[in-house]
Amino acid sequence: MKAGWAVVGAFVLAALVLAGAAAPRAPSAYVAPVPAQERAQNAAILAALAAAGIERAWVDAQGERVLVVYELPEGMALDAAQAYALGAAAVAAPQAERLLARTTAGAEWSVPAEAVRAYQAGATTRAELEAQVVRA
Amino acid sequence: MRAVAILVVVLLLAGPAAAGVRTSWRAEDAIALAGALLADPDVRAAADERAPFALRVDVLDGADAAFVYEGSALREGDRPGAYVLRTTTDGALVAVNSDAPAHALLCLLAAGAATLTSPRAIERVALTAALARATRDDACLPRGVQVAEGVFVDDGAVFDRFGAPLGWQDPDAPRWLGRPEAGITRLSPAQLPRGAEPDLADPWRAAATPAMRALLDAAADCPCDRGALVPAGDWRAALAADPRVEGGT
Repeated sequence: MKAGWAVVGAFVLAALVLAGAAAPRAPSAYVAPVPAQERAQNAAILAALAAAGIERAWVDAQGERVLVVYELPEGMALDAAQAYALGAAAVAAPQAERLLARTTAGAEWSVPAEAVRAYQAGATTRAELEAQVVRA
Repeated sequence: MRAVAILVVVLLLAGPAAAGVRTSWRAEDAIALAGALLADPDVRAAADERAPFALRVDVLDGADAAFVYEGSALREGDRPGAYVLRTTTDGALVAVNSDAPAHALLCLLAAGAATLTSPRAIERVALTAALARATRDDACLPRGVQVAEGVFVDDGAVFDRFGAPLGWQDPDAPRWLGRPEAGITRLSPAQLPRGAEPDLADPWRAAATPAMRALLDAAADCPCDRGALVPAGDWRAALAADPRVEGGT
């Protein structure tokens, strides 16, 4: 008798398992939490780029580094665009220590954020700043 | 009794597996997806014919990585450039810049996922891509096609089998799906505040003027978030209700 109940219980359990497995699952969200500060800084940098006519861009401000990737608009000088992007990143992300700007064509500059801020504050010359830019 | 107990255990273990249920993406899923995509003759043929590609992983530090998609034979109008903007212990956010072909995106995802999974337990792989033109003009991935087990592409959006978005491919996708509440996954330039123009005579300082700082402050208050993925809800219902949708999945 006990064995009979056990068999019934096994079938009930199996039915529950199969029913649960076959049931449609609710869509689940991909959660990519981005801190509010990073969102704000990303938006600020994108706005700065857009104001200069750079409208195809991705920005990722994460902690100590800011990465700006963009498509260089036709007619815009690469040097000016890179410097502008890095300058905007320095303004928008005051906590950043390293700034990187890349074009989709592969030009990449990186520079210590402090060097940019020092130039923006008038503490150094442009030549001193650009001497710290690493070009790849 | 022992046989019954064994039967119960077997059923408990085999039931979900037999039904193909997965509750999350794991490393092995990503690797399987990579294999499926790269082994798919259509994907391979399209990739070989249209855009021979190379993938490089640049590890910036312990938490970040960047992929560079280098197309050596892209069509005129196609632009290389794909980047992983964010990788964490539970996912990778891949952004594909501009008009890379959809099949290249998928190959990128596959290779990227396979590469990233080795040191980390990736639960989900999310894609954010700007591929509107590629998917609309490119016949290799028509809308509503299942490109791999459990992965669907619908006119610019990539979904898993449960309808969860693996990523949007263009900012119009939420509108196309008729769900404005799906949110903004890619900040459109039109959404950004304007009102100041930088003087690029000194580009290093151009964003540091009072007018530009005001612009940046205004943008920082923008509730939008480019690159963040937003819950999509029941996309199948939205598709079914959208008369512009042909077929679907």
